[in-house]
Amino acid sequence: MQNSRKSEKSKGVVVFAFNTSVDYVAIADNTSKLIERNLKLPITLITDHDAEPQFEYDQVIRVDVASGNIKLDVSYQQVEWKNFGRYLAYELSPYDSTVLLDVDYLVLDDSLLKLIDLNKDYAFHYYSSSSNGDLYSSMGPYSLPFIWATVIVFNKSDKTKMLFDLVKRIQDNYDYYCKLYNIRERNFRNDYAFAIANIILNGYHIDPGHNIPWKMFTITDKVDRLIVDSKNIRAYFTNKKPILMPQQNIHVMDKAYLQSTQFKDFVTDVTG
Amino acid sequence: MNAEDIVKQIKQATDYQINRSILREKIQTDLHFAYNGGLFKADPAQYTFVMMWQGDADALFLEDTYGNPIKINQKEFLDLSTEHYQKVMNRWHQEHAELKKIRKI
Repeated sequence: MQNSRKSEKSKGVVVFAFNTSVDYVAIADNTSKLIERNLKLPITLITDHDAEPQFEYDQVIRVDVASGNIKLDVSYQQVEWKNFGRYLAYELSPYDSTVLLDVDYLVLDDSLLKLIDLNKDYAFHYYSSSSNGDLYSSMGPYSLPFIWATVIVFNKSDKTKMLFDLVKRIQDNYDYYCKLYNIRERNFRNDYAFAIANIILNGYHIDPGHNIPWKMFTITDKVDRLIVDSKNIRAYFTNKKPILMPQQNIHVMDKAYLQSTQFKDFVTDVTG
Repeated sequence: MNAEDIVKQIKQATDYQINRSILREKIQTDLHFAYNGGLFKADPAQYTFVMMWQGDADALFLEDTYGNPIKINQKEFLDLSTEHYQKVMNRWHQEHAELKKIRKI
């Protein structure tokens, strides 16, 4: 299918969503409404053959992806996690300049647009903060810092292709790289794979030239509800005091909230 | 005000210090702006330097956030940088004042 909105240098957003016990496709449908409103870019969904997305995506690309990975959710319950295959984004993205986003990233401002015209090979967040302070960013007590693969802005180039090819190599040989980099968690994480690839690609050096120069704001707690007014967002939590913040991009780890009717209402309130 | 209202109000009270710190981070994000293929963070030292520049207005180069030299037009950059800085700082001031107004602790 041709991208009808393709320009001289095409720009767009790519999101991956593979359903497990979590309905990631439904989350993507909702978060895509926020992306469309605030970035005004076409959005491509990469998903599996069974998904039934409801949002009107620019393209829906269906792939086979391996399962078998697990993670702990915000309630410390083990859940299935289909996070393999992120390296496919380079080949599958229909755009020259791509913003690759996790579905749990709420785009509530247009700050990512500042990065897309820079002609950088790629950039991602090296740092993230939360209402509890800065988040840890080491792959293990005796390891190197990781990056947050939640947001990756990339232009198609030889260097970017090498990055994604390296991520595939790391995914295929993850046990080896876990030992080599003293990685604490043995379940595959894209944050770690991209961090290792980035370190290797820059001569075994953490190059600040690929950092998005502001922190990603993450909500790590269980969310009861988010309420938006003209300027602010008020976040209510199960076990702590609410916070008041300006309308800004937010990485929300609580997938139960993102599947709730409260979240749908929040998206409706934001998008009007 | 009855006890129920007081409990409700306490549960809705936010922490001023946390709100203030989140707002500050957001402003740090918003101070960035793109210019001629570079990414800059607006700050007074930078635009004072540009304003004071006496040399060739078309041969001025500044280091951007990513450590790249970017060619700038003195007037164009000064206008953009000053306007951007004022707009963002003004919003910070207003939103910070509102946070102080609803401060509960």
